[in-house]
Amino acid sequence: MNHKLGSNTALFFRLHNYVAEQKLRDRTVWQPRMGFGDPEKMKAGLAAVADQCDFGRSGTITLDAYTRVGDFETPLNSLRSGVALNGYPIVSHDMETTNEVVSPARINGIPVQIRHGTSKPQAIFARMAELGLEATEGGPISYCLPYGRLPLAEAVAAWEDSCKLMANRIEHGHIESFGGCMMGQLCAPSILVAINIIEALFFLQHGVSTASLSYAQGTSDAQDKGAIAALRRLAKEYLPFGTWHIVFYMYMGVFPKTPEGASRLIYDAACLAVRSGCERVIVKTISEAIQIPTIEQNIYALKLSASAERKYGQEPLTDREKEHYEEVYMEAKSMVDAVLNESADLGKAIINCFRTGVLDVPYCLHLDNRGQTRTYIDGDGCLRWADRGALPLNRSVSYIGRHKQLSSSEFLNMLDYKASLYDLRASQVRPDCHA
Amino acid sequence: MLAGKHILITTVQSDSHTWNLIYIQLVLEELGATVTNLGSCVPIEESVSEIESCNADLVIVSSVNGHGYYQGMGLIKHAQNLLAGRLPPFVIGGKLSTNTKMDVFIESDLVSAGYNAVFLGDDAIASFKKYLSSMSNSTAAAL
Repeated sequence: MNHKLGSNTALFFRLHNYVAEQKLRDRTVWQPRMGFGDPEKMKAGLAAVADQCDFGRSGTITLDAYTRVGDFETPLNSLRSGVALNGYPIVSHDMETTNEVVSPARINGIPVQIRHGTSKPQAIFARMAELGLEATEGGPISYCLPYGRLPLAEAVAAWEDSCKLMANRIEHGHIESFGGCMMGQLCAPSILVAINIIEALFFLQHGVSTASLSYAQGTSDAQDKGAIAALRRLAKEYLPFGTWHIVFYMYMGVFPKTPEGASRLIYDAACLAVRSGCERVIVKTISEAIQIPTIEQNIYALKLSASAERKYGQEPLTDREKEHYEEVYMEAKSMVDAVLNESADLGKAIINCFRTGVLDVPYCLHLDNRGQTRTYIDGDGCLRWADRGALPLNRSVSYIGRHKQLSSSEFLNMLDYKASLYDLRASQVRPDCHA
Repeated sequence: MLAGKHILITTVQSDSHTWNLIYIQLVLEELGATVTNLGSCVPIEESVSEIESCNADLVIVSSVNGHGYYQGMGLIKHAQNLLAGRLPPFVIGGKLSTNTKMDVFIESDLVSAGYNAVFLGDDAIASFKKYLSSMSNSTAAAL
């Protein structure tokens, strides 16, 4: 095999192209969140995903916690002394090793995405360039505010550098905005949608070829379906044709404790993703909350999820979903326009808009987030604004919720809302449970 | 209640979880306290300097990533070295180790190190709330 710089990309499908090709065949792309420190195990994991020929799938290499914070020495020392890592240290392992690890994906023609969680990803992007890997995830907002204390301005500068590095050194570079997953749960859909559009514009402005827009499942299927339609419409309006696709994340908050409840949530999430027409789906596993899932658990979750495609296809919006769609669209558009009007330099616009509260992520304690906004779950299970802070939202048009004081016990129930719903269902006999 | 009290919420330097910190803030605000919440991954130096600058009446260390025991020890030792006699009451709670079997000695170790109370296990929240009400009672009695 020829390992010359960039030449490998020709040997296997690039993520964005692969997703587009699967869509033409009416197939969703199912993707695990898999990462092992040991190269043999990582290779076996990618081989097991690649072997699933009955559905569209993408490989994932999730990086370890040391690599995330820029420590490239500790991972190999840990592995030598027999300590397992929580991901694959792509900068520490040599090129030959990683080329061998990704070979099953390359041979089978499936893409591999590098997932990390780093607010300063330059070294990871440089290694991806050397390896001929083109797809990753993150963003100046979404990989900064929810984690740690790095000032937003430093994260913006690091992502500008990283995007430029990708533009110069990686053919057909692709970044997925993690904006759909801010805080993991309890974020109102409109600000998730807005952050995605803003980050995707940021990537493209700095020369990255294509982007994906993420949306993490919330607390109401109707609201989620409306929100995904709103995200799609805004992407069509703001991003060049053919440069984006939508990736759906199964619920990222507190997961059901019972295996039955967890399986049911995974299957329902898969159905929702298919019914919403999402091109790619990040699949959860039953044991995620307790331990790093095994290869087998990942494959089981992929198969369970992909089975939703046999039952469902993309559906038009119902009247109720349309109401959510219009509300999310209006709110997200107001935020995106306010950012674009702030400065032609998107990085500067992002920093200023967080300072003035034009963007304000609920429950995010980062110093560069104002922290005035709050959400609550209403009687229909939808996420609503309890306090909209200084967000540029037109009350008369889109404000369905009300200003609401949130109690600490309500807050605990909200964190646990989805998990307790599914654990309760698991304890009841339902004939359609194993559809 | 806790009106007039300034309470500092912090966590250990390795812990990026924040839902626990937000929940505690809501509990304290319901009781009328003024809260400074330092957020995730707080460097020890920052925790200690904030105690002085906000003149905290109580310091709450909340951690759920399993490193709270060791790093919580480091935090209080540093605070004692720097603040000596000016140290406000310190409490700690959450999931402080990766193994709940360690809870038996974690609690006594942390108390010996200088924490006024340690909240662990299933009834951590209930006993934390009880601690707060005893704190507000003693304030009332002092008045």
